[in-house]
Amino acid sequence: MLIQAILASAWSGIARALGNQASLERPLICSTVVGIIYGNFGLGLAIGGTLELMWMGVEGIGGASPADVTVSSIFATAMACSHGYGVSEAVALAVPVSLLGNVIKQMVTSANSFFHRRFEALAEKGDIDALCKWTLWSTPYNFAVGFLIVFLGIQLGSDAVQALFESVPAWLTTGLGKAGGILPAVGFAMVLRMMYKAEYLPFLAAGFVLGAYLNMPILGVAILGAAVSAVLFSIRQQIKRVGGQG
Amino acid sequence: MSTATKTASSRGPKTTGKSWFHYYLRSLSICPCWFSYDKMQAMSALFTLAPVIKANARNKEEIIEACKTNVQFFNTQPFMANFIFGLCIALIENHESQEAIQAIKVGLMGPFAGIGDSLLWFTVRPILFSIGAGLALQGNAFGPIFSLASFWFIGQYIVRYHGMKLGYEQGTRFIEEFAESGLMEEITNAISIVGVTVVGTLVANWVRASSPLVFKASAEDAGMQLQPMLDMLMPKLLPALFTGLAYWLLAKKKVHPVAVILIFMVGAVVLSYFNII
Repeated sequence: MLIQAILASAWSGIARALGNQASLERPLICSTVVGIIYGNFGLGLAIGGTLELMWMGVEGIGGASPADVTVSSIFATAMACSHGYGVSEAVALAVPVSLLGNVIKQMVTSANSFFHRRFEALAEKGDIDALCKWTLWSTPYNFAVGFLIVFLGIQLGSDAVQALFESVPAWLTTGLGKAGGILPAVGFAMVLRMMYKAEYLPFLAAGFVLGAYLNMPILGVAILGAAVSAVLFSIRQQIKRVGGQG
Repeated sequence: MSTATKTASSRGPKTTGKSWFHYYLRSLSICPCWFSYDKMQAMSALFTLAPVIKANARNKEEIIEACKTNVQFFNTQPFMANFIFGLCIALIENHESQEAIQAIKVGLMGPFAGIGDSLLWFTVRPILFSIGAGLALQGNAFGPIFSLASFWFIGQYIVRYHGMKLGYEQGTRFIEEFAESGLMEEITNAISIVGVTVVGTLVANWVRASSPLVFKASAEDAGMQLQPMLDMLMPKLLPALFTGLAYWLLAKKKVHPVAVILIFMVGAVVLSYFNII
């Protein structure tokens, strides 16, 4: 059990050290990797897919993220794999942990300001090599932070989580299972909030019809959408060019 | 631009002899670089540009000046940053003043963050990762691999690696025109259309909600089931309504995303307890 906890924590460290640029911090990737580590690939995939859809629009930008999706999906998947829970328990666990993880993240970001006072002093002296060396050190530092958060979480929280889920009545488990089915709606709404404009309503409706009435798979819809969008794009460019001449 | 500088720039910046791949690797420091609320990505600008600064400085004062300006606040979208870094490399090689370089850096980071956030973080990545998540939920191991590989190709190779070269080769005016021209908006528009269409299908495919409710007039009555009636009205009506409710809470009522998730969880448990869903 310890070796799995160490590997899962190491993944948290890697995801944190590389940050959102590498996209290794997304729930889909984290839960799948943790599933592999615990020898339950199928469960990891299922949890990752569900959490990814639920948190689709959650992005950490400018240090202001609404939830720590990385720590929570790693922790929830590790708990589900080691205690034998299903997807709905993992989702129920991931939500509160994402809030707690976010508080820790904000504390670390605030603490980092301390280091910048030192960097300003080095800059005054023009010690460019020392500044570069310090920047490189941020990678193991972030790895350690990411590692410790998940490792301590698993070590300290595992028994509490088990005790919590032992006393859960059947109606609550059923309800959480239903919630797991509905929660992707929140993820989709979050993405829509970022890109939706009233003029896109026909496309939203068309996509819904393709899925609900024709059961078209998602990649097919994406290609069809890209084709329509490309035609519209070139028409708009054409109009612009003609308008420019006139 | 002469042929000689063009070949030099396709290998890397002309003054350092290091390849573009080397600078791409240095730019990866943008996420871990002691990210804080007051300086954000400052250190990665210094770290990425350091070899060029050292190769082009004519005296110690220029290095001090470059260090002092490059530990100042910097923040943009991590991939779009490379356009700015490429441009900065060209400016340093031309021995532009640090004030001029800093003014361009600060002037471009806002518009480039706006373009990059809406295009890459909120459109391209959700589309690619939702396709992968859909595959994963069907038990397909290629789901996560598809998402990562496709997003890395677009983000890391096309935008980052080539973006840096483009910033270096095309220079200030091109990059400023690029940031201000309507073209990026048009591209964002086109990709948003794909995104919104995909989300429409995702709602139908991946929000699972149905009602077991049965209306009975008396105990002997076989009853009328609600769900078949809803299906006749419109398939996936409940998923569409739930998504609409979530959108209304998030966008119109400005409820915190995690609060919306909690509302939906509690709501689902309560509705399920009374056998409504």
